[in-house]
Amino acid sequence: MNSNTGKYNFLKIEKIIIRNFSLFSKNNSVIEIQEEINNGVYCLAGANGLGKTTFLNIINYGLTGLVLKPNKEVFSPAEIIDSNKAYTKRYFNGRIKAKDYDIAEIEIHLTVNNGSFRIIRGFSNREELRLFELYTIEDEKKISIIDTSKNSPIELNNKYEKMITNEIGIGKFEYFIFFQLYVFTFDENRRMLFWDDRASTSALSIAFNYDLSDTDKIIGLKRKMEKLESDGRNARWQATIIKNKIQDLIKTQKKRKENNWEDLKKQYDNLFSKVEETEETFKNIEIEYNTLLKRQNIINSEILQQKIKYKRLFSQYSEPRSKLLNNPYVTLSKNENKCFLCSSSGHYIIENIERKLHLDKCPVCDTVLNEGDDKEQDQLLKQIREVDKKISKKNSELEELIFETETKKAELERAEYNYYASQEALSEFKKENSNIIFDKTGDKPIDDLIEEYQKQFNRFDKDSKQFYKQRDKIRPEYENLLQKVNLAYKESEEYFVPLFKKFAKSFIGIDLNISFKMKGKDIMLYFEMKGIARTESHQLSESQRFFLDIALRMALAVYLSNSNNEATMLIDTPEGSLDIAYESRVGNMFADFVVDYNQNMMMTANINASQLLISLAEKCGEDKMQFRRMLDWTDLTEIQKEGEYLFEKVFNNIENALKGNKHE
Amino acid sequence: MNENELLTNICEFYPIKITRAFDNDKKAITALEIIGKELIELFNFFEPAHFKGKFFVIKNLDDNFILPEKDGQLITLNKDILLNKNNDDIIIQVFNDRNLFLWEGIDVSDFLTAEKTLIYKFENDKEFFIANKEEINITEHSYGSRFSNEFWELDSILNKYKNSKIRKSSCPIFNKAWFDKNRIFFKGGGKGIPEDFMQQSLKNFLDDLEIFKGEIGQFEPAREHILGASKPVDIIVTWGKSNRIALIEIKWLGKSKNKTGKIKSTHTNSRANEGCSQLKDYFELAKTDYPNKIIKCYLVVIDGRRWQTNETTQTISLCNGMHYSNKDLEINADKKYWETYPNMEKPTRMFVEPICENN
Amino acid sequence: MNKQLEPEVQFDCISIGIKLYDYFDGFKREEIQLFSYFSSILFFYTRNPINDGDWKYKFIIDDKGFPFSQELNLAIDQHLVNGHFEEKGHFFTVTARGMKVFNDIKDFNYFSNREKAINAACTTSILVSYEKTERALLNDKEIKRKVKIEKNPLIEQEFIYQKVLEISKKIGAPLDDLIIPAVSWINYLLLTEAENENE
Repeated sequence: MNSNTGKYNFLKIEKIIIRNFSLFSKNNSVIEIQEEINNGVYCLAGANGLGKTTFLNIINYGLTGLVLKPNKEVFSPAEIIDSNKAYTKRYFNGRIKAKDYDIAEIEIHLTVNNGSFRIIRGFSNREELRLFELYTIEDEKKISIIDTSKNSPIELNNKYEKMITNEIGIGKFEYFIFFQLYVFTFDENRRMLFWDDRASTSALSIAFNYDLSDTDKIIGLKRKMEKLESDGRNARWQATIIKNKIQDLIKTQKKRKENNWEDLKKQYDNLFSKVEETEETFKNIEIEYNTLLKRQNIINSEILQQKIKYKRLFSQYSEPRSKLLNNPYVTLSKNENKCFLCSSSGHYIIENIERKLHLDKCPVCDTVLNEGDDKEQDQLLKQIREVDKKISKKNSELEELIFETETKKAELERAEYNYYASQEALSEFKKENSNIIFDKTGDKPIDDLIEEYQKQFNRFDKDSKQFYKQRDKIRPEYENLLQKVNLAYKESEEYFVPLFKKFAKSFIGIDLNISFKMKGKDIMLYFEMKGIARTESHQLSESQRFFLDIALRMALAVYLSNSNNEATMLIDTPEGSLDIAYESRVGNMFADFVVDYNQNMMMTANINASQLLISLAEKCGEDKMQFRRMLDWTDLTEIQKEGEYLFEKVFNNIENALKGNKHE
Repeated sequence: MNENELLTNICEFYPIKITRAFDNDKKAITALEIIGKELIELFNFFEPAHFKGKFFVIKNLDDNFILPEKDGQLITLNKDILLNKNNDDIIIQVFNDRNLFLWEGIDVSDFLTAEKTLIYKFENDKEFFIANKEEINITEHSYGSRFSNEFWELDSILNKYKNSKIRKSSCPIFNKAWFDKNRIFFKGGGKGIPEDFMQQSLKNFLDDLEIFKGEIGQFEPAREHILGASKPVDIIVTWGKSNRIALIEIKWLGKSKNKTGKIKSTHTNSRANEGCSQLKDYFELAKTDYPNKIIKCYLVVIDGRRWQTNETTQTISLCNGMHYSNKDLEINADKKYWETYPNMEKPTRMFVEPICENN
Repeated sequence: MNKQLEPEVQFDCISIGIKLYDYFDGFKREEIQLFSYFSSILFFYTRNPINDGDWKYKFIIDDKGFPFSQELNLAIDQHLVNGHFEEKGHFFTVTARGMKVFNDIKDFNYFSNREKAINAACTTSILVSYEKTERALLNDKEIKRKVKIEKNPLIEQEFIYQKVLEISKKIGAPLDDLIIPAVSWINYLLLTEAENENE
């Protein structure tokens, strides 16, 4: 049964009134919903789409001022409000008509730790309460605990938040929101608590007897320590490097005194400057060489241009034209391969005519014709001659250029060779005198450099030591906190685990072992089923997973609640994703929660959960179960009407079960 | 032959020999080239085979005058003066610009030893190059120069004709000249029979020879025949570029029968002699008609003589048929013009074999 | 009639034609082809990186065993039509007009290397006699070998040129000279052909 280690006083909802919420309208007029909530199970049943989920959301909204965004993410308590407030506003915009928007409201009567709360929250502004009363009942008289008559709606809300947090004893309002929305509400979004590392960490931290702020502290401390260690290491590393440099310099100093330093330095300088010299020469010649190549290309293309011109002119030249070529008779002969005069045919006809023409003779009478075309020919010839000269000139230019290029190439190869040779010489020299550093000191005398380095070394050394010291300071606190957490787990194992096992067994039918483990800074749950660890969530089926999740939450609720201040779980029943065999088991699980542990549950159901409802009803009986149908709250569509009709039979069975009668 | 032998052989070839004689001087090759080309030009006006003296063409590598310039004659533009040269030694120096200088009646030993000079010599149907005092024989033909071998070519063609067409009477046109199938008697009777067949046969042969560059027939279409002659020469072959004419006269020996089977003509040796005279006359006429051409005259004698035949002879024995096969013509001494006139060839006798019994 | 003939092929045609006419009274089509082929081999000798070391047209061996290039063939036709060549019986001769045209273009630098090769080729036919030159070229072992493998094969000028080069190197010719290489090669062909016949 319940242990006395419960920490919190959870709330019990007594009454719900919803006004002017457009979704709940019949025959075009909005209806007011009033529900008295008894102990045990409050089950709201109806076809899909009637607004069951909305109903639960409205309740949660009334309590916390928030509707959760429909994704599976679980936010830490500090993040919840910011992440969901915008959605909250949008949610109700869509569900309330404009005309009702300002007047719609939810009124909740609830009791916590002997205090009775009465709140009215509008849907247009989540940060305000239209009414807040906190009172006790003595001798059936209402006695206000606080005066809220002169408070603004925002002040009312603030007071509410403060008071309820106090009464529950949970420390911060955001922890209350976390528990109310994440732990005690199981909705259609199937937000799994214990399969989500962060969520489980938050939930378990809150649950197992230590401050969430402790968790933050642990994390913070751990991070700090790690940073300090890293800084310390870096500083040490720097110090080491400097130390090595100092060693080298000292060595060099010594060596220099031993060897003929001046001479060697001179040698080195010579070799070095030779390298620089040869490199420059090499690069310069390379540029010159490339320029020559480029010039070659240019000339080549110039030559090509001229050649094309040449060909064109030559073509023209070798086709002398005769005036008579265009003569119609001649053309006729050509086309028909027939002599225009005597009509003889044959290919030789054309050849003969053309030959005569090209000899500038008349094909008929052999008279030599006016040789006006000769001028043209001469012109062409002259042009061709000019182009020919140009080509010849360019060719000789190119020839010279090629020769020059070849020479330059030889030069380049020599320069390259010299450059590499000088590099070789330098590296050889360096190798032979590897114990001496020539180039690192630049102009500074070694002594000065050593002094400088020494200063740096000291600095790094000091820093490093500092970092480690700081880290060591933090360590005890950290270890303390860690101890605290570990202790808490030990406790949990003693009391919490058996609770969960019970719920789990009634659902899944077999013994489960769970244990908590710290994974890094997170707290993880491990399942063991018949000796096989099922640590990964995907090793169980989806419905198994979320009913186990519910089982865990139930265990938490029982574990954490003080007697007479039991928790209320809000469950939006999953629609038809459970095996029938499991359905009754789920019903059992719910029944255990309510009957054995005196907890409360507000749930929604549709026809698919019939088996679940029946077994639940059987176990609970009328005393512990309230079964309500949503028929009257809204207009039904045809399909919904059909659904409701189908539900009739089931409903009767449930009624019978409640009354303790067995169904047929 | 292995490679070394090959190379040695190649080096025996006269252009290479000449080059080496001048230490591989490029000018030597140029000299050879120019001389070669000039020879072709010169031989358009000069037939070395007809020349009795020595003929030299020389080139100095540096174009220095070997012989005194004043004694020479510039003949670049009038090479035709060579046409009438007969006896004296001729020396022609050729220069890079293709100018030609001619010397005659000069003591040849003057220049044969000249330095850096390439010399071509033609003498007695033999030709040489003298390179740096080394004499290289380059003679190819039995007469004439290898640089101008039109007549020599005609000669060998006639020889070919003799052996391939006449000997066994393998030409279908020539065959029409026979009266009988045994080729004992020629066909006689009509004008130009059998001569026309024989001429046509030879003409066709020359015509069909694809490599023969001589033009058969008339040189100038306007002239039908040589003026003054009672009949035109049988065949004229002309070479335009080389400026040559060959006159070919065909005579036949043997007996011809007319259609009735009676013996029409009998030609013997005397016919050949007649031919010689006739050809000589043609030559004289041609000289006047074509004074600028190099002329050569050929007498082709188709020898169809048979031993002991008469009108009734139908078949002939081997002995009788081949009696004259190797019998040379007997030309009278005064008709042996070829001995005195280089332009006249010795008659070419072409014996035609009959089809003998028991062949 | 193809009016797109390259200047080179037109030049070769008339240059060779004139030389053959000068030396031998006339020429045939296959003789122009033969000497163009001969010239092209010698041309490779003069080739240097500056000019296109390219003869510009290739030869196959025709059914008669002669080299044949279609471009050159068309060039002959064109010269005929233009009145540069004239047909005389079996042969072609060059007209006065043809001579004039050649005179106009023979000194162009554009053609100078070709002219050199053509000159060497044609001069060879004077120095070695025409018949021998022709015979030597047609009986080239290399060409005969190719004809055995393939009908109308393409002549690989490069390969043959290598041979010429080899021989000339061994003979030793003055720089720039083509006549000695040409003459040597013809002789070589004559000697190796005679060899073949003896084998």
